[in-house]
Amino acid sequence: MEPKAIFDLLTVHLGEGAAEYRENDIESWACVSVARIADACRFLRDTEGLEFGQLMCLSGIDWDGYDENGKGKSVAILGYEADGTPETSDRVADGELGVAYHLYSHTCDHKFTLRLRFPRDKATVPTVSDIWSTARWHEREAWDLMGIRFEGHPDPRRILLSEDWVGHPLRKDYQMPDQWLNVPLRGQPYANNPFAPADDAPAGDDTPAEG
Amino acid sequence: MSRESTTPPEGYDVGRENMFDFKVDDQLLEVVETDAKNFILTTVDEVFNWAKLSSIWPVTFGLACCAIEMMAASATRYDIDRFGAGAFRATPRQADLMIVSGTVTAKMAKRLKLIYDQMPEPKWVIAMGSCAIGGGPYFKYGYHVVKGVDFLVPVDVYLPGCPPRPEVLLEGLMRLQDKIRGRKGKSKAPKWVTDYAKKIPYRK
Amino acid sequence: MATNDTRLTGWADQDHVPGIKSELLELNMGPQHPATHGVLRLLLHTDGEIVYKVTPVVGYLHRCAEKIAEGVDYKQWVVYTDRFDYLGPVTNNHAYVTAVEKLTELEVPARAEHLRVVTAELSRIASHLIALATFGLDMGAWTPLLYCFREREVILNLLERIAGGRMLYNYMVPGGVRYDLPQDNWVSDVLEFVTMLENKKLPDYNTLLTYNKIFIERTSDVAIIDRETAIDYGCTGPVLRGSGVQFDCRRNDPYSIYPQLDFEIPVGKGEMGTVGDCWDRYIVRVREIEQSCRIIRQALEQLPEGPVHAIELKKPVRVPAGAAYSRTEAAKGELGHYIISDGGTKPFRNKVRSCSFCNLQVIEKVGVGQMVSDLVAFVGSLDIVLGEIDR
Repeated sequence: MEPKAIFDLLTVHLGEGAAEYRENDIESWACVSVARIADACRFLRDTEGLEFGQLMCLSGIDWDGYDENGKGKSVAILGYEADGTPETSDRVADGELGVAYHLYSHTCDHKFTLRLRFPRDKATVPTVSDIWSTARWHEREAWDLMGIRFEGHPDPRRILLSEDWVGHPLRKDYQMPDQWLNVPLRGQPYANNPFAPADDAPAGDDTPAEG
Repeated sequence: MSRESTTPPEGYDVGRENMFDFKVDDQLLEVVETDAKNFILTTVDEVFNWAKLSSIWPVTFGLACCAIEMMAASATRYDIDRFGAGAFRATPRQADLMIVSGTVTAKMAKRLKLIYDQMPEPKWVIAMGSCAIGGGPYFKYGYHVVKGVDFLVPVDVYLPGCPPRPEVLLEGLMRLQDKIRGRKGKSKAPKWVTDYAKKIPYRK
Repeated sequence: MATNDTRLTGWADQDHVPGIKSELLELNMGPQHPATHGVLRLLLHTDGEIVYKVTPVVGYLHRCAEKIAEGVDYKQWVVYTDRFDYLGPVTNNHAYVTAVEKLTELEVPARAEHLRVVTAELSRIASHLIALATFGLDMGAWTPLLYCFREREVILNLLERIAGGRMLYNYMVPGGVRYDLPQDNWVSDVLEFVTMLENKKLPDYNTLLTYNKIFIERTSDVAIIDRETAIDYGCTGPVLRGSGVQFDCRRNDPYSIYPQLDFEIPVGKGEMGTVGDCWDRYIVRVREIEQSCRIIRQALEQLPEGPVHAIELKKPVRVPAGAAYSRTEAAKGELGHYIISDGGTKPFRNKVRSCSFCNLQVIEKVGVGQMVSDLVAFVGSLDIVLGEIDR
């Protein structure tokens, strides 16, 4: 079934205003409102003819600093400097967060994409882990790395990072930690670097081979 | 004991026919005694070091991709067992080498320290792969990666590579064996050796 | 997990003697363990030998690959894809570059596509060989481990001649592959290896392990994943096909030159026990090695002439703004990338949907009621790689 046809059935169920369709050559998606997402997913799984039995992927997205003009000028992330200390920045992030759901049906052999967007300070989304069990770990990862809360989740803990980690690393304003519970995470610059260029060598360009 | 230690030095007039039938003056006796004891203790050191380096048993501490090269080094082509290091122990209490093969993350750091502490002395650590040496390719944006295992445990040999070939691991093992070979032991010689040293024939 | 979700098989009921009180023992199969495939921690609550609750704890190898993707170029990140499934690295490269090319209009030359398929299938064979080897090792069989590593050395030598690295290659770029064939007789060596594998080595493994009575007793009817559970938990790859679902990304969601190639998709049929047991997952992998040999032979016979990259290697890849999810069949299952691009040379967000992450989750349901050694067999048959789970 074509994505537009699936979307029409979905709007019939959800009512007007709950979902919008974004057409795209490569991948079209339906933008659903946050409150109706669980309802939409349940409808997509249980209806005859749609039968989306598998959630392929659930991704958390941080839209902060996204370059809307498509020129590639999004805000850069912060890393560690060359001598190992974390980079710092005073920029305050204010973009939206989002979640993307990619569904697939084994019986009907069609795919569909749903997307949500919500403001940073209201990052709570109804869970779909009672619809597809695979969402349990995907939502735990989204909480862990992106800081999106899923209400109704049976086990809302961090999964990849340790329980007492502070911060959500995949956010665009995350500053790298210097250490965590006495485990040093900063780098160490070379004391005597045998591969450093000689003092009288001409100053070359250190950027990687580009263009 | 070699013949050199029982023959007197060059140019010394022995004045005897039978090797055992001579009277030695005290100065030479003192020299010979210390030499003999040093020689025995050095030999004991050498023997113990040779035993240690020929049977270094690693603990299975494969973390990531380098662990597969470690497994390949213990497979048939690059057999690590011919160096005596083929018996990988699962428990650190029976091991004396920890080959840190792979990236050490912040969550794993505490466990690495625990395994290291449980190993009995003498113990050695090989940092295998660029992640264990200095964070590897995860240096710049790795918020969860410890930039080198030498922040946590003292390392004896560093093996570069991503991952290092099994031959590099074998070379690193041989360097570690050289390091052990030159090690001055802190152990004293056992009593039967010192007793025998006292019974050397030329001492009256 | 709620306790009313635990489902006990016939084992647990027989052991309860009325009048004797017992408690659950909390046992830790820690991150350093000879039987877990990597740094996986399993918290078991057991009553004697029978497991009532399994909680996998992952994250001991979290290497922040998705954060790195936002900081480095599209071409530079191919290096990090190798490190996901480090047993079959070229398949991970293939998944990523396919995802990037979906967003761009790069036309990959036909010769590059064929070389991609050949190297990816060789990597898949290498990964499956390790799966068989370590599965046999978990059951106590030492010989298949050494035999499989011996075969794997030949594959690694072949890939070293074409890609330069022994285990991790960084061989593909969006738009092609990095290197053309070497000047020596690489093609005939590959065909010779494939023939030897099909005719002499796989029958060896079948005699040693597959149809071995002890192995069958230890793996058939153990840890049965039925079809609904597999689809609900998002299992893919040999785990899903072992449960009877005929789904393979190379056939159902085709990419590269797979539509032109003729191969079968092996599916578990419950020959030695029930559909979806450990033996089915294992035999699917063995048969996939045979099918990979077929694919390699066809791809090499049809190898066309031409360039091997669409863009000059020095130029950066600029991807127009957009977002797409694309999936390929890696060695362990369906590896997908959801790439959001803002029009520049670095991705804005790259979410990796890895197969082992979803496959491992099924242990929370199916591991209940097993004995501890059956759990070890189950983890071995799932064939997880921690580099993929933790990324």
